[in-house]
Amino acid sequence: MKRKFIVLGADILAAAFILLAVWIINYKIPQKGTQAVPLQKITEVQKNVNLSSDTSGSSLQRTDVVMSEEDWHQKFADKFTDKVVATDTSYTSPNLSVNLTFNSYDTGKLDKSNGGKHEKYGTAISYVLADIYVGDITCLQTAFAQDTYGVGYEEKLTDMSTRMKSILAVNGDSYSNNRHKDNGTIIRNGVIYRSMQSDAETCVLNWDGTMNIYPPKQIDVQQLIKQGAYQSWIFGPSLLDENGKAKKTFYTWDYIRQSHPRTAIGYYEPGHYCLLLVDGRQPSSRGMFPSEMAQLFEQLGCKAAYNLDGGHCSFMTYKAQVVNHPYKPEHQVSDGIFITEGL
Amino acid sequence: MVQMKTVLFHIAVICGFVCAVAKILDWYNPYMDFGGHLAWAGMTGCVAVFLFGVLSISGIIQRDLEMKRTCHRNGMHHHHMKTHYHQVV
Repeated sequence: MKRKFIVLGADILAAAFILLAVWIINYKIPQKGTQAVPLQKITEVQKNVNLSSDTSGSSLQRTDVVMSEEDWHQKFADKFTDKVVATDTSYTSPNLSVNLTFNSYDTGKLDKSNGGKHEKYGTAISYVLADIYVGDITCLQTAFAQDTYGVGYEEKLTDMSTRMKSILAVNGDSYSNNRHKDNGTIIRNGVIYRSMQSDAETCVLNWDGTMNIYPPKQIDVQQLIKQGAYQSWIFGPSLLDENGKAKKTFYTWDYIRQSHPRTAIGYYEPGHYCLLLVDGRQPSSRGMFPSEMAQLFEQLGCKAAYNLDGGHCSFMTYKAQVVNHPYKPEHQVSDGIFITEGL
Repeated sequence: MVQMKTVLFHIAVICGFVCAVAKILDWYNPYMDFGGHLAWAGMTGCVAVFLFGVLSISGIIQRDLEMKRTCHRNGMHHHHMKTHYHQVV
């Protein structure tokens, strides 16, 4: 009998070894790396030109640069300042206005899902909301970890924030964790790194500052090129309907429907956005359900809102310092959204 | 034959465990697609179980034939011998 248990244990160990090997080979070892195309290069060239990446030799297509006709500097003149004025919770300059709000409240609602695993975190929620006005769309940039598109590239958000000289940053959609065969279209800073259909909703921010969220399998890359897609994210779900009202049902899977630490982006109008960072998995904040996030974005008056990667990837930095209260030490992430002074 | 069956049995157990864990991991994030990256384990497990079944059935048939031959030599009808065998077992 004892021998049988030892043999079974050996089988389980062999299985664990196989799983570990598959995880390391397919997900952790950096592979298929493509050097990110700097935003500066994109703005210098004309519309719809195939760029050759300097380092990988691969040809990356970019989208048409269809800029907004409105001058956001004038439109949001009351939000900007002639000189940089920075406090612990706000930053204004001739190009940018960032205002952080720290909030917490008690929902009175326990998360009883997943066999009550989340109940120990209680009912409180705390979050950081960054209200952002940009004078130019290039003030909102994205970056890949280690400045490389590919699988297995990771970097701390604080290090990326320093590299990007960002005022504010949050993690992105962890695009490289999506190893599904329909793993979507990835456009960053106007460059198309991946062009696939997706089973998830896709959030697209355009060069003109507008935001569109597409249902699964509705992405037409040629259309995105023509309309001037600037960034795209694949995680979801979208949180508001076409009238800016909180959705009741969310296109995602069961695990995401539970309460978790969250990162999300909200859109008010071209040039005006918000980034939400919800702490979670700790007694001071259990995390949010998608429905709670949707309610919050509706109350804020956003026209569109989209959930990004959460859990132990949820971080917000302000001047390269983490400003939220993550439940674990800073974790490396695949990508991020960076609010900068622009080009 | 016995050694072969033992190896197939262990392959089936290992592949079954691997597939079960992949299913659990994909519940947390289906887009990680562990199931897709470990599809070979599912196929290998199926083949191992199939071969294990074939070898087991062929073993039973072979034993039955041997029993028939033994009965024939001893002048007994084989199903009497079979009943006797099961009673003993």
